[in-house]
Amino acid sequence: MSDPLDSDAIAEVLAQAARGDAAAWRDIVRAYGPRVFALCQSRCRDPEVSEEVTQSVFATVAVKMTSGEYAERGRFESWLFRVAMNRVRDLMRRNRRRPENLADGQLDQVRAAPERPTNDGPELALLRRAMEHLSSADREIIELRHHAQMGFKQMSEVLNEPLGTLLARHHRALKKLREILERDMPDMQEKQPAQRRRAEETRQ
Amino acid sequence: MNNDRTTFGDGFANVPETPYEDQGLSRIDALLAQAGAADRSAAAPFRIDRIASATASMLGEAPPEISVIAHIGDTPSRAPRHRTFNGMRLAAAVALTLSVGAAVMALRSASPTLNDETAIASTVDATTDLDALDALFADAGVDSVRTDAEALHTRVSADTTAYWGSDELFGDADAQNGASL
Repeated sequence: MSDPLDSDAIAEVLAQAARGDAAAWRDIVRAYGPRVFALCQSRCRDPEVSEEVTQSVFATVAVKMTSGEYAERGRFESWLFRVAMNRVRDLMRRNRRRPENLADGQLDQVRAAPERPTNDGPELALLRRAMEHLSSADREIIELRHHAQMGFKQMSEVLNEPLGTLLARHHRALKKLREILERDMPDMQEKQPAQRRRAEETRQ
Repeated sequence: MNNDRTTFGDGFANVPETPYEDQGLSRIDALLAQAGAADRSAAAPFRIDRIASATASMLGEAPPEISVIAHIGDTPSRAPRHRTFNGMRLAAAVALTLSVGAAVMALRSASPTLNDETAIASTVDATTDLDALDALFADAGVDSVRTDAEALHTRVSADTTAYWGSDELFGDADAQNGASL
């Protein structure tokens, strides 16, 4: 991933790209491409599909920028990730509409099989599996925050949600992930602070 | 752009990113950061450069027609989908089907079929003749059956000729049948 563009530089680079400057456009794609890619990759776990979706996002951005439908007012990142989020939602809807018929027992084989060769350790693999249990809205918050590396204020612009609501939902999503992981990774409980263990013992 | 992961964004500069005294949540937060980094690193430079090259040509282009990926069987293909056009096609197909059906119904009700005509004629004649046969076998003796049968045949032939019109071919056949009896 190349160095991020600061807010002063981004306006100038966007203006150059809108005039058809291919080098400026490449800088934009290099700066934001991996973050958009990660947003999709977290859902589909397929680099080819993630690349296709990322390309469609930047194609939309390129056309709208140069046709004057987007005017830079310091919210390029929010706009870009709103387009990206909509593409990811489309992808998920499309995948839900195409259920595959599996014979008896095949579903268990699919669940047991690794999705793709990956360098994830066992903890990350369990975390990704736990994320499947989050609601779509909570998962979007997690992914915008941790995969797209957005600030909460920008996320509130992307999702049209109040900042306090986002913070509360992010916290709730983390707690849910922790509950799932504690169930699947008992050793996590050993690493919790003594204060929490005492509270649990008191409740019991 | 806000890549500073130590704040919540503008106006929240003093708020730490992970304000979780609960170390369990801090650990989840750290794991999620690892997952995000792994997914960003999956965007290999060659992929990013390929995206940049493919989309650079769209700078300055008019907005393309929006299309969705349509799947036919298991083969994905990019095909434009127009809801309005599909609706019009469906309405036209329904209207065509209804008009063809109405035309067929009208034709069938206006002209009786060959089967209808045959059924009407045979019903009228057969009833009369069967009544005569019943009376014949009820009243006549065995010796007179032959004479009466010939008379009946003559009468039926006359009725048939009267109904269908004179026909030499039928007349010859009737004569031969009458002689053979």
